[in-house]
Amino acid sequence: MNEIVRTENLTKTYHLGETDVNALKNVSLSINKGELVSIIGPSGSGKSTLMHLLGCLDTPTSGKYFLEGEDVSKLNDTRLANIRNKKIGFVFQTFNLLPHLTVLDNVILPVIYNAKSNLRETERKAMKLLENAGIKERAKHLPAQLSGGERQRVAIVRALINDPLIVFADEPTGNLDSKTGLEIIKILKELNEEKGVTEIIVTHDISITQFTHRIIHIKDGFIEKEIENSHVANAEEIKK
Amino acid sequence: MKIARIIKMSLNSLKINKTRTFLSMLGVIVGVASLILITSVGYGAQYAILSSIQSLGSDVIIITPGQKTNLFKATMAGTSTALKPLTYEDVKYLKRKLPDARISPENHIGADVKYGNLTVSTTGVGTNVDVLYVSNYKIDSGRGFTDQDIDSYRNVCILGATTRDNLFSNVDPVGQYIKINNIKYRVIGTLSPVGSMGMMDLDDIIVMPITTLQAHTRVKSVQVIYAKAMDDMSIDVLGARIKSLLLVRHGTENFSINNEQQYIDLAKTITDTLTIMLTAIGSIALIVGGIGIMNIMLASVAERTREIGIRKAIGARNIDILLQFLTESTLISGSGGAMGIIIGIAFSSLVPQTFLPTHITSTSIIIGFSVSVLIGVFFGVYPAKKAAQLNPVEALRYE
Ligand SMILES: Nc1ncnc2c1ncn2[C@@H]1O[C@H](COP(=O)(O)OP(=O)(O)OP(=O)(O)O)[C@@H](O)[C@H]1O
Ligand SMILES: [Mg+2]
Repeated sequence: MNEIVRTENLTKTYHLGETDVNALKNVSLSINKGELVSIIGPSGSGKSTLMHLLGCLDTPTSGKYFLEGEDVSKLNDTRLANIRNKKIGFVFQTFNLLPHLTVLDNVILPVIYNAKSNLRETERKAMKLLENAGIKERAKHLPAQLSGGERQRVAIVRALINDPLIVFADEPTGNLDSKTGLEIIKILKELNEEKGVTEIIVTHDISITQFTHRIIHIKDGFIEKEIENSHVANAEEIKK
Repeated sequence: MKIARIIKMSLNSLKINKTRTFLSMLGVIVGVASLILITSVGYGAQYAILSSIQSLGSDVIIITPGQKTNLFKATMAGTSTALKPLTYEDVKYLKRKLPDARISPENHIGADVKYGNLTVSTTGVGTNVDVLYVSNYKIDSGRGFTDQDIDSYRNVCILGATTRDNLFSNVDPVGQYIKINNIKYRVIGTLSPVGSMGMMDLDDIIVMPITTLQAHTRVKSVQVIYAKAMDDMSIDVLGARIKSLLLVRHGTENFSINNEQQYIDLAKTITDTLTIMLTAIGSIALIVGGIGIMNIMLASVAERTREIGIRKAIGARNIDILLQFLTESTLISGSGGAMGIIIGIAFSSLVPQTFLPTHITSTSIIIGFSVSVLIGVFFGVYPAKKAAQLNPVEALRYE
């Protein structure tokens, strides 16, 4: 097994005035290379909090997080930013594209922050990825000129531009109608099947979990149960 | 991140909200423009004083309109048309009463000199025969003025070495006709070069009879009168005699009598005052402009919280965000400073030179620009730090 993510008693506590909110309590999990994992749970159960910790956007109150065997739970901001830049891709519910940049500029933005990068080459690669996602002709458009589904495709391409170790998608279909949502899931599923991209998808939609290898149920900040999916549906089964 | 990428990124951000960008520049623009304008007046005064004495010897007495109580005011009054107690009649009177002294008046005007299809701008100096005795100028070719030239208002002129070189490349200027401010003059001589003093080219002049100049400019007064003893009379004795003669004629002491050293001291005082003034205006520009920029940058950071969150989520380090915002504030203040310099120069050129002479120096431009860039860096640090230290998760949740 090729383990890339391992957490030990990951805990996140927010202090709101007098009271403490335990958003995450002693979460221990492990994710292998090439896995497609879904996380499901009620609102406020800590799914996003977990994604932010795993995506190195935040540091835990206590517990340990090993990414490719390296303990990243106590790293400083610069080290974490470098990890986010090179090893992690994020897809958000609200797309989170920069409104004043074109699709192409949004996609290459992560590469801008890598001083050693070659922007020409990156643009060529970005156009290829946009083509694969079926939105090549949108490259010079602004996000506001795109539909929700198209924006999310742009966000996925942006997440892939640095060939990340792992992609985190926090309710990627949450702002889309069910048909468009399924198209997005299909893209993510194909990436996993064809390119072997490791992915963690947070969702409210139980039907999406049938395409994932493993389903993690979260409740009140801890893992309620983990279910291995013995009958993983493949991408072709996503209805048109 | 590469510096070129940061600058490109910051420029793009500034283009998004052009009105805001311009408003944030306003303080710096006004500050730097007034710095340039005020110092141009100060340097103009210094320049006027130095240029009026540099061509003279230390044994020359300088008589200017206005009371001696304030040498600076007196000098400025000499270039102003407001105060006109000294006239060419005074010069003739002094010459009659003091046959052992050489007495020479001077009026300055801006002169556009045309020869063929060539036009140059220079300083026109109206004076009389005695100019060659009281100044360091010597005739190089042709002749100097005669009393007839002066008394009969002749349209004749003598070229300073620079003016000659600018207008005549291979023709002998003596005997040629030129136009000064559209009036025809005949060139009767040229002067040997005397060199330059600091930034002032003392040879960039054209000399004509005071009477002719006064007639053409419709001016009765003279700006300054120089006097020099021909025998071994001391400048103190000559000064005292001139003073008593003029007192009788004017009935009141509405003139002042000085010598070169007093002017050099005055010029030094002006330089010192200018330094203080530059520092004071610079500080005010710094504070007013800087606070404006800081305010707007803080608002911008708050408004762009989500953008900062997104940038951090995809791998921007704190230093990248810091540099982006710092570059924005520096670009704002730097271009504000550049605009302020242009506006300051434009305004100072609008000041009528007969009212207040202005002079733009590279020092005030360099100081104006450096101060404005420093404003952006200094007052940009706090907002940029705030932006850089935002927690990425909270920034992403920001609506
Ligand atoms: N910055 C914060 N400060 C205080 N409390 C927070 C903060 N972020 C999250 N929480 C709390 O932590 C808990 C878990 O929040 P989280 O956003 O992880 O839930 P979620 O499972 O993603 O919910 P949803 O399905 O609605 O997105 C919630 O009770 C939330 O109010
Ligand atoms: Mg959530």
